[in-house]
Amino acid sequence: MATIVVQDLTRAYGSVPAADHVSFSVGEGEIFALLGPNGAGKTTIVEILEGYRSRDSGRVEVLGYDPATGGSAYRARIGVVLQSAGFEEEFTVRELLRLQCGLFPRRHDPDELIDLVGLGDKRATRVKGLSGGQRRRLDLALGLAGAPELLFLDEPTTGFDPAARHHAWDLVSRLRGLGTTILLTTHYLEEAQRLADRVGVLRSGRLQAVGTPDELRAASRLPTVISFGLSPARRAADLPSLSVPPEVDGSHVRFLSRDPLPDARRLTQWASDNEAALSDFTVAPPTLEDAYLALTEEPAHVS
Amino acid sequence: MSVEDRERVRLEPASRSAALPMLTGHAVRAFLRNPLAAFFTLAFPLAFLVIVSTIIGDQTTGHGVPVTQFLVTPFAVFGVAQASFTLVAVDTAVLRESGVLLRLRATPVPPRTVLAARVAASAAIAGVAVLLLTVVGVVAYDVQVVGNKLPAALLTLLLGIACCTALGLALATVTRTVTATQALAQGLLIPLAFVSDVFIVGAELPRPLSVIGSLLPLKHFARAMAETFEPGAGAGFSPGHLAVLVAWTLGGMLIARLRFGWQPRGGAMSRRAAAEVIGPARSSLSAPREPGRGSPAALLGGQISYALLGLRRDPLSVFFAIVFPGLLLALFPSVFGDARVHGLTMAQYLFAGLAAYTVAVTGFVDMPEGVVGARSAGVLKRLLGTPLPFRWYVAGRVCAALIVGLLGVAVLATVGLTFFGVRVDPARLPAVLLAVALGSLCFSALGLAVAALLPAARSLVAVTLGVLLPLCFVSEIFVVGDRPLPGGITAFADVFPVRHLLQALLTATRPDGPGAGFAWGHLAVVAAWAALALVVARVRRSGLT
Repeated sequence: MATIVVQDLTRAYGSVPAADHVSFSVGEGEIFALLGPNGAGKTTIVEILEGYRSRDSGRVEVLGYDPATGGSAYRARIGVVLQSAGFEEEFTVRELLRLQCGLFPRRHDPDELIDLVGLGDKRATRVKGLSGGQRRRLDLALGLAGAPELLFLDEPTTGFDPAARHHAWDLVSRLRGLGTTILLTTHYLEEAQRLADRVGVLRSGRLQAVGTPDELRAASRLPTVISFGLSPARRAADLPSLSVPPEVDGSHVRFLSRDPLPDARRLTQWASDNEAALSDFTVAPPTLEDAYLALTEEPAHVS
Repeated sequence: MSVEDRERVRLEPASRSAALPMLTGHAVRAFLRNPLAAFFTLAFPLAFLVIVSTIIGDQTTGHGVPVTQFLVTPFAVFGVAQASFTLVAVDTAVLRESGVLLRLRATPVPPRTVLAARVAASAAIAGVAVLLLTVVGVVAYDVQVVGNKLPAALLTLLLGIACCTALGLALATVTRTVTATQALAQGLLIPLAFVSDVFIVGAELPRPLSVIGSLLPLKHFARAMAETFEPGAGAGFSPGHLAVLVAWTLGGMLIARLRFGWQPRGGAMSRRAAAEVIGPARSSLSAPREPGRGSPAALLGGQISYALLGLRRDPLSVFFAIVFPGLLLALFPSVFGDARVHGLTMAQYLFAGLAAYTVAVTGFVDMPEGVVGARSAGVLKRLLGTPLPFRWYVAGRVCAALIVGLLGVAVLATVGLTFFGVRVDPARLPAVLLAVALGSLCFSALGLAVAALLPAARSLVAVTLGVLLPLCFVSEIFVVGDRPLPGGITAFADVFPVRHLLQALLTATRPDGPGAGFAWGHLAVVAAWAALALVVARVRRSGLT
């Protein structure tokens, strides 16, 4: 049975639709990422799923509950890691975790959670003495207090340095190993690609596409970028005929191919026939980021 | 540790009732970790009890009962109001705005348990405050606990706590920010205490003030409490007063119930802004202007207007600095009639006292609070990244405090001269202005020193006001009777600048005094404190930013 089922979910603020007939489902143990620019409706949808916000219409079922009416029994089974949730600065890491764990009928051991998120040496430190990254890890540990079957992660690595981000990703992967279902919102495409089994892309309250990162890339029908360097002895005019005329910038050649395999074969064949070195020969299929930008129609570069 | 270790999940029966004591204990610990709140709630009323008892404690009433018998309950009522009204309101707002409530909402604990825990904690704290006052009263001042009225005392106390808590919650639910909650809580409680038999007991109030006091719950709480400490026969219940408390409790609960919210409210605007569509962006900028001749005067002027702008956006603190002393000046003579204080009319004396108070509050409380607010919001960090020398920022703040202080004194002068026969000799205006300016500089410097010495504090009000108010009392800023204070107290007050500023202002405003009115000796002490504070602030400058 699916952990999350959303059908025709609609919620508007005045005349602005924050969720417009959104439908998707998340299976048990799956990691599902909601992507979209600011104001696309990610937070609204997640808050409706968490039970914080009412909906105008549509069906929402999470772990067999309607979040709007699930109450304590529902909350005992979910975990929420919010970007905007704060701490009581005067308490230590351990005290806050003991309290949080005590609020759930079914719960993890606070000390094990501290070790899990790598705050073992900060156990007795007050929150005001933690760095930004350590706070986010404490946040995650607090979200896991009730041994949740479903975890909501709101932009879990925003503001992390690359090493901390990789650490957080490892952590989330380990949660997958525990069988925890995770609903993730993020701005980082790399994060979604790395963690998520499936991705939903939102724009202006509408779900533009749902699928695995590979499916989204394939569905985007974006061209593959083929590029290489040509030695000065060769002229671009000598190149074999390709599906599109290449752009030549000095010794650098680049073109957007919709037929990458034949083009690549013609080029390599030509190179070996003419003993020409194609330096840095690269065939770059569209990335999830390209697919995402095409779906959300944001300009790729702000000039 | 492996993933399997994490699988060990504790499966215990969902004991819903266990959450309440746990959260209550947590809230009490939070209170104890906040030494400033603890000071304000527990030590502050106690300090007042001690001060007032020291001053008038040897007097007895007509029936031969020492007056201290009647001093415990007003301060106890004030302590309860601090713990259950102010603390609950501010705490709830802080927890909401910082997102702690948001996190609690995600747990299976029902909202009523979260609130009940806070209420229970505040009740415990209020109870301790009352106990402390009673014990000190009994041990040190021969206060007698009236045994036959003890049940009435406990019931009154419980109802009072319930009423204050309900209204505190209601206040938190109708405000948007912590600052607003803080200002409103104190701004309501302190004036109310004056007209509710808490700060002034048994006075004949002007009718409108008396009516206001009777409509609001504090006076009923104070009178019902006082009745239970009145030696004599009877059970000591005051059904009328208690009924009013119950009615206000229900009203407060209703508002709290209707308006309660978990979401931070202050940040709502920025969140909405993020949803806005970004318009077409400009792709180029015109050439930067060549540097102009930024004179120090222009820099200072800019910083002063910036500081004043910030104050204009915070009308409550302006109210407290400018309007509130004027109200007190109007209130005291109305209450006490035309009693004479140290050879002056009450209004004449209070004019100097409240002018000193205004200067001290604007410089020592409001100004550093603005700096500390900017510091904890990261505004100072950004400012340090600009070419503006930090001293200009500080100078702007200090000058703004002086301007507000002068405005406050002008309001006092207008009220005093127009309605209460206060006289100021125009020839001594330079002396008044010098005292005000030097006083403002001194208290601003002291405020900056406190801010620099407490680099982690997000708010200083509890420290600054907590120091200033008792000091004002022992320095005779507020009238505590015509009799001179015990020598020990005056000697203590003589160390600090408050009393010297008062004396300088009294000399400058005394209608029958000789000369130009410059009290050089007192002014020198004020200047010495200013210099000391400036040195501390300079040495600990890193703490300021």
